[in-house]
Amino acid sequence: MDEIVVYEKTDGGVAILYPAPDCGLTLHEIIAKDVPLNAKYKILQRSDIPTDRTYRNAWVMDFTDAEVNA
Amino acid sequence: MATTINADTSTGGAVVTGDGSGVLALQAAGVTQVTINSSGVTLVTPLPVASGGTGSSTGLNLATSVTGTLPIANGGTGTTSTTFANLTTNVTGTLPIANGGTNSTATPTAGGVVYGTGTAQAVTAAGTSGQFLKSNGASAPSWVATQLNVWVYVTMSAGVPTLQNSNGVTSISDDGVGTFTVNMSVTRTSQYYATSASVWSAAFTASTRPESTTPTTKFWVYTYNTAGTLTDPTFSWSAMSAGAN
Repeated sequence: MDEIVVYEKTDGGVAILYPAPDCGLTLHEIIAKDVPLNAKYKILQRSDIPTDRTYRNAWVMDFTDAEVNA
Repeated sequence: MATTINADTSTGGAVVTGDGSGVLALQAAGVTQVTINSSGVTLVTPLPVASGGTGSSTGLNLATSVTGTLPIANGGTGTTSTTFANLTTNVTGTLPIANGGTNSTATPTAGGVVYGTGTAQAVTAAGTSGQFLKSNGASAPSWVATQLNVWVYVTMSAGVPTLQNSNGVTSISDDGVGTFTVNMSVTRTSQYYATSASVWSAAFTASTRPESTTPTTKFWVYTYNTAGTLTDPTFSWSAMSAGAN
């Protein structure tokens, strides 16, 4: 899967979820299971993730119009 | 008055017809009842049942010509019922395997599994949700708790992980520098398990943290540099969680 999921961490910052290939679940099933409840998230492409991780822990995401794992 | 025809031994037993047709017609009150010619005998009306006939010119009619009950010994059902056998009233006992039965009166327990005893079919008790069926050889199978073994192998490129291979994992999360969540595909309900991780980067170390309570579907992996600071692994890392489910 080239699609990844960026979601809002409960303690601040963002987490990037990488689905396991061939796990038998669809991306949305994985989101429902692995993204924290009520967390905002967006589906992006792997290529959208910055490769410079110098300030990885300070990354933020604009979650405007994001979906919520309700 | 009936006419009697007797074979005359003096003429060789032959009956000679007057018109030379060779057809002998027997009449009663002027109406031909029987015709005999060189092909055989023809009855104008079918021979009645009372005389050993069928009473029909079209053969035996089962609906009108046959009455009574054909016994089982003669290939019948022994009953006038329009159904051959009523399983509720006509059949008793347990149908043996040889006759296509189960040789058993076992109740199909909800959630149980049907198995063979060697002579009959039987049904196990229901298991507990999440249990698996275990073979006990020729004995009855039993329900047992599972051993849940989860592992994942991840390569790193410029800090971006690629999940190369895994078992029992639905995803990993990059939570920050040197910090990952492994999300399992099943729920671990037992506290009797262990987690471990390795990192393929010189002088790096890895550790794991299980969920503090069960049930859980995840555990965490941390990678450190020699100074003990959380650091992204350079090449790859792997992690596993094993134990009772």
